[in-house]
Amino acid sequence: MTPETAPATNATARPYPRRRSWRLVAGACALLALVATALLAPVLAPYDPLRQDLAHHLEPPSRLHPLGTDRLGRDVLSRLLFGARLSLVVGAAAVTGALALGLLLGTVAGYGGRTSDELVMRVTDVLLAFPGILLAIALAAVLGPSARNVVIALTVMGWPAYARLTRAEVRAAATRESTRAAEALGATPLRVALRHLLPSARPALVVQATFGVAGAIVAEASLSFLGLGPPPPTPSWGAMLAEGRSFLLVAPHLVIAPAAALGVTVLAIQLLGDALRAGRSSAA
Amino acid sequence: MLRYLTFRLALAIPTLAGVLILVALLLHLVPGDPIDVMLGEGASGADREQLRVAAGLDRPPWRQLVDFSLGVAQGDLGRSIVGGQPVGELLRERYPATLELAGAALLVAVAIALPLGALAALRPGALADRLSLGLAAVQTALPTFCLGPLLVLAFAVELPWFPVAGRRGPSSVVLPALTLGLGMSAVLARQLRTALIAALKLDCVRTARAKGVAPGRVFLRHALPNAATATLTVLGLQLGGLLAGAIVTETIFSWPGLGRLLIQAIGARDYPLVQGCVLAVAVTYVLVNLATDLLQAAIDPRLRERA
Repeated sequence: MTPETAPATNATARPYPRRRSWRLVAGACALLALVATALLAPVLAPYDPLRQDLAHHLEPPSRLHPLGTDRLGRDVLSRLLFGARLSLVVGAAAVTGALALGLLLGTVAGYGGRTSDELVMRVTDVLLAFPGILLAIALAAVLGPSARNVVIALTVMGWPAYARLTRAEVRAAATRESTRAAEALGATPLRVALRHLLPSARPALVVQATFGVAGAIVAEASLSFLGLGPPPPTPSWGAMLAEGRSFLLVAPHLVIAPAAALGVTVLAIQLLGDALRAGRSSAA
Repeated sequence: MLRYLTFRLALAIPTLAGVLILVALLLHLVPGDPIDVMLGEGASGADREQLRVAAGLDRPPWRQLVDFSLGVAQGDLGRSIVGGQPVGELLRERYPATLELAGAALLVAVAIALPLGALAALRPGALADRLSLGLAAVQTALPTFCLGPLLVLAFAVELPWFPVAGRRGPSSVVLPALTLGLGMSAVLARQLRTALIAALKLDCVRTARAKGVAPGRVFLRHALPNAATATLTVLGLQLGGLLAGAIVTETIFSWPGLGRLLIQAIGARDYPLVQGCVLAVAVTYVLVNLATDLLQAAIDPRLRERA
């Protein structure tokens, strides 16, 4: 750590960086801009993302269509803007679901005694035995392609990581004297969990969840790419990529545009996550 | 070592059992009647009944689980609904292609990560270090399904060096392996760099240097083995990502492996085949992690003590 970053005296009191790093500012600004773009998609989009214009299909970027048109003559920029809504909503919903489930079960495992601990940990073992996105693919495949089912699949895939992290943090916090004192004074387990255990797990979970949103957005795009996302004609970056692949030779912009959108989104979130993590390690 | 082996094997059994249960019950998550979904609404009553019996759906769930497990133990995974072939046979046909792709991707990843990570560790902040950071950023921003088509655009369309898709001859594996391996190399290089920087500060390295051992030998004999265990853990975990990434990569390049089979099975609603593919990939992953752990224990005797 550089000497300028004044070491915070209390890790729990100052979990976030005091001196704002450029990463935090850049990541937060980029993400805010993305959210604003997604929210304002109906206003910003030059065309209806579903409007077909077969006379002008597969056109390269032009003044009328800044990012060109796809195989049905739909405006790529408009589809990209509406696709941002799907990506961000699915990413946020999947992480919220996974975080909620992980927090609950992680706390139960870490503070609820040996049996519940064993039970929850064995379930996470099994779920984590599925490599990466395989579990989400299997779930999305049997549940059927829709945005809701993608969120369900990603929640099931995501919660074990949060549960494990929560459990580790909760177990560490449970042995602290302040927690012991609260227990001795007769605080109910729920109160202990909410007031003493979870607040100390928060900084680690915030970092993990930030990276989790990036991961969920990529996973949603992967599922859509494989045809397991919301069915067409819903604009989705992954599906746009899959579709554009067939026209690489004549219309490379169909692949480059959604790939760039996805890349910028993931990098912005990653930057924010990096900054939050750096803030944590300088505070610790 | 033998004790560690049995301990670690015993640990893998409940996990494998859990995987089996989950895969066996996958069919029950299908909304509505899976028979309707597989055959379509217009199928005749006799066909439906036949499939219901073949898929075991006429029996109680616990019985289905037992039968499925017994079948798996005997290598019988049921039959594909579309083609009628035994699922096990289809898996055996496709498995080598996925192994070839994963192996080639691993080679790409290690070939890039080893020199890059080593150079970055020897001179932190220098060109190689920045290069590995840049690669890590590119890797997170460009998932396989973005990188793959872009590589095809560059090296199969603009510069026709490699085939666009398919599995014919050694040159056809280059682009899929690059797609899959590049992403892995960044994480691996960063991990190796961290582990090597820590290893270069060890007493044994300092002593070796003080004795006048040649720098190259210090690096190869003293620093690298110490950095190897932590890197191996990451490598093992990354192999899971490799297997999952292979599903997407195989789809991009029409590579005739397990991943493509899985996606085709999903498209055809051939659920017994879906179950077989998911099981095959998950079991491979568990076994790879087991192998990684054992390899680590072979390198680092301290790990064996803990068992």
